[in-house]
Amino acid sequence: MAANLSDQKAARFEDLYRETYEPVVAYCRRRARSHHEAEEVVSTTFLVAWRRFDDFASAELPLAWLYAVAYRSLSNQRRGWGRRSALKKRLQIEGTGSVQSPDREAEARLEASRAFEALATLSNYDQEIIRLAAFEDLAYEAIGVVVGKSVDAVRSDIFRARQRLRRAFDGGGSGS
Amino acid sequence: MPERDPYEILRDNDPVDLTRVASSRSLEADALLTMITTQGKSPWSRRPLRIALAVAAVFLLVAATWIVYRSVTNVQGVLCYSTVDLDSDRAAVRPEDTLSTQACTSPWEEGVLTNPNVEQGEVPPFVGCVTEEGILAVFPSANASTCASLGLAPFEEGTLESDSSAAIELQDQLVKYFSAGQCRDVDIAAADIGRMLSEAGDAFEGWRIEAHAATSSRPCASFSMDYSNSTLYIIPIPEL
Repeated sequence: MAANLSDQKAARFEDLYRETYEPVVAYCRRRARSHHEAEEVVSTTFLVAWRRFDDFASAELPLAWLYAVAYRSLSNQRRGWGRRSALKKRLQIEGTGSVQSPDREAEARLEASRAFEALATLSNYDQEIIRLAAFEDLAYEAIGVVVGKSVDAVRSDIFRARQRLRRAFDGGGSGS
Repeated sequence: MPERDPYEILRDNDPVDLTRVASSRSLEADALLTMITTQGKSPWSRRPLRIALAVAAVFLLVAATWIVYRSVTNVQGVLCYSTVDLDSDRAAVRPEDTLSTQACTSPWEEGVLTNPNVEQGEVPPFVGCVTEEGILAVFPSANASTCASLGLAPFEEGTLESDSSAAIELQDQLVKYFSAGQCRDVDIAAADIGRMLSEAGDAFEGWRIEAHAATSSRPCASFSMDYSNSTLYIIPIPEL
């Protein structure tokens, strides 16, 4: 019976793992300084999910639950990171993948670079909720799960964070 | 013309190229899954597992940038594929006394691996190749160009035979040591492993231990072996 339960747990975990592996890897890569660091956070995140399997499996939004774990793990490592240079570097390396004329492409890259620089001037919390909405494409409810806030609070926070982002983008200074 | 909303610009510029993210069925994903779900158990079973690469898992955890395998250097497991395709079903088996493509005989005999072109229970001819991670990958084929067609290096039967038995034995010891369900202090682990290496005999003469300092978020020791540089790394990992 014990073995049965253990097998069931492993099978259920594997299902959830397969469903969430790719978005979790992408989430970590968007925020980590390097692929190596992203891999560490991915490993830690799923190890925590396995250790707290009951919480993970019963979560209403398992992916958001994993993002929350990764978010905490990354937050612990984030102090002192040179976010701006890392993001700019990655942007240069990976680009957008779109096909445009050389002039338009250069302009778009410059514009994107400015947007990322503006983002980097915001608080870690503001950056996180903007990324969750912009890149992970999460709804307010899921963002609330990640950052531990209510839907209404998240809605309001994102509104304000976007205003600060706009100011930083327009003025080139801190939006906080 | 008014400038675009920077939020919309960000939305259009995901810094991650999703086509470069490993699939949830990739070797990396499989290895991590196995490492996680075999915590506290021996990661190697005599019965072939779907995938069971403890070393690859440790590799993924912490050492990916430190270790470069260029030949058959990882003797902890052999990957047996069901077809000449790196995405096909596969079984990982532990080699016995020698490193050989024949390690893949039992998964075929037992019907763990099947292929429409091979009778159930029959053992096909094998071609051995070497992955970038230094793992022996065995495919059901008699075609000498199989490895080249997959972008892998060919494997020479007999490579590492003299040392593989001692290596397997030491790796068994290490896996057991680190799977005992406790958080091993890095310094104590370095001392214990030093003793294991010296007791392992000639096969590990000249090996050195490189211990990386623990941190508050990574207080426990794990290990990774780099055969090409005769180095055993002690690597701090999070407490599990």
